[in-house]
Amino acid sequence: MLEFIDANCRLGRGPAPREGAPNTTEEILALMDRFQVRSAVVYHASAQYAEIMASNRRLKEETRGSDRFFMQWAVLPPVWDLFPDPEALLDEMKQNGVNSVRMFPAQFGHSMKRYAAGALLDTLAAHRVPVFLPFDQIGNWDALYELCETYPDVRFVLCSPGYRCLRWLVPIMDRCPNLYVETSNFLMHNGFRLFCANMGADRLVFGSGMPEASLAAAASQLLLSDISQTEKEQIAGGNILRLLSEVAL
Amino acid sequence: MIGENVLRGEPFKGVFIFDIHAHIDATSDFELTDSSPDKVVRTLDALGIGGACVSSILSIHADCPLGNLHVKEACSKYPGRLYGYLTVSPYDPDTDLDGAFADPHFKGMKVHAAFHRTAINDPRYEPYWEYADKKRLPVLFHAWELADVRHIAELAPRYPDAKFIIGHGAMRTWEIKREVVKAVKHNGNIFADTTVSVAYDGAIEWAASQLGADRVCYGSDIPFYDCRHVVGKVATSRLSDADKEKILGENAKKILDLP
Repeated sequence: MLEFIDANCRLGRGPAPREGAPNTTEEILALMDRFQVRSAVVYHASAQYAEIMASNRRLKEETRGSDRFFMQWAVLPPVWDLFPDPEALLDEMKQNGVNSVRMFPAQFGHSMKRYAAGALLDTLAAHRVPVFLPFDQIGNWDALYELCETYPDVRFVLCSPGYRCLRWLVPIMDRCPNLYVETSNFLMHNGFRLFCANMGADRLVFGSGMPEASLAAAASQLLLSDISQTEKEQIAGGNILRLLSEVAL
Repeated sequence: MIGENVLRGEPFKGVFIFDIHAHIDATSDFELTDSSPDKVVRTLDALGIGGACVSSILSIHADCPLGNLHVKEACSKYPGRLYGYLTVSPYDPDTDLDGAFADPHFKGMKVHAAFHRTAINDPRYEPYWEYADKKRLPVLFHAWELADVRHIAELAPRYPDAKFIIGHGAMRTWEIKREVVKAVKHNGNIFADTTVSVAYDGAIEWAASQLGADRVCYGSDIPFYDCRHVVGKVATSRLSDADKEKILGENAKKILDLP
């Protein structure tokens, strides 16, 4: 049986809870049980939509004390003292057992260029902290390429690239070994088989996108894919565990 | 129990699964992987899916007659596995419908008004609705927007013997879902398919509870999407096996009049 680590999961109440969807931590844990998800990388909904740092600090409470969650904080480049400076941020992450970050440049309204985000991203790179980036937060594929080139030591995990991505994504991945892809919206027909055959399995990271997207759908795609068991294990959890194990805080 | 095979990564056995919303051919917009009839059937084989009703992406995007010919050829190559939708457009008023439906592989019509740069309530579609009504044929709509659902709801009572399938209809936004529920409750000849594959967990159960399990059909949109998402999601849902059987294939069998 394949065991999963879900690299893309959100806790806390979002802006539009759906009827019947897993809207609480307990419901998410129940779904994780059904689909053999041992652990999930989680961020707080309010850190995306409202008070960023205060919600990061509340994330632990939202995990209900479960040891099945890898906590992830939403971060942005500080302005004055309105957000912790990079070293202070990493200290606080370490104290709280947080080992990855997520950035929302479009929503939070900041640049990812070196003049604005350089200090933060250099610090994250020095500590090998993976930086998760939803595709819709980057703007376009050229911006993603520029980002990966500008910060070659940052491990970027692109979330929800969609099913129309191949012509953009493959050339970027060919040139940027620091780019990983999370698979919750990686919907192309036979995508896993084609990707593994052409690029290998070591840069795909399983994610569900819960609660907005479906763990059942994401897990089914990988479980039923015609790739080897070793490749499935890499994607299901091996790759994200490797990334997280290399974090040095 | 239906769906346990998914957790073991094994194909389906002992349950009839039919994809009511599938395609063949390619698009220039992006790399549509493994979109030939051979590759689509290969995926169906690998998963234990009994068959699919396909329309041509070429028909939807540009050349209706040529794409329909591709469908005819594909269905002839894979009898009993692939059936076809005849894509109809406002720009081919002389389409020989009797001639097309003389081929038993064609089971219904496909309408993609958005790509044909018009709307479902375009009066140039009327002859097709009349024909579908007369022959009791299903019509599968690309229904992405709220207006699409409203237009279908207007058509259904006027053509009560036609069967209207709201493509992508079962699980989109709250506003659209509300409109789909209203349309299905008021019209016995409206159905919805499941082709929004990453919609949240619980969406299938919600659709079945609101529309009735006999009005929801498994459709994947393969090869736009990998069908593994949706078929696994329906199969592993919390619905009863009886409801899963309806959604996965039995409803399609009735709607498309499959042998």
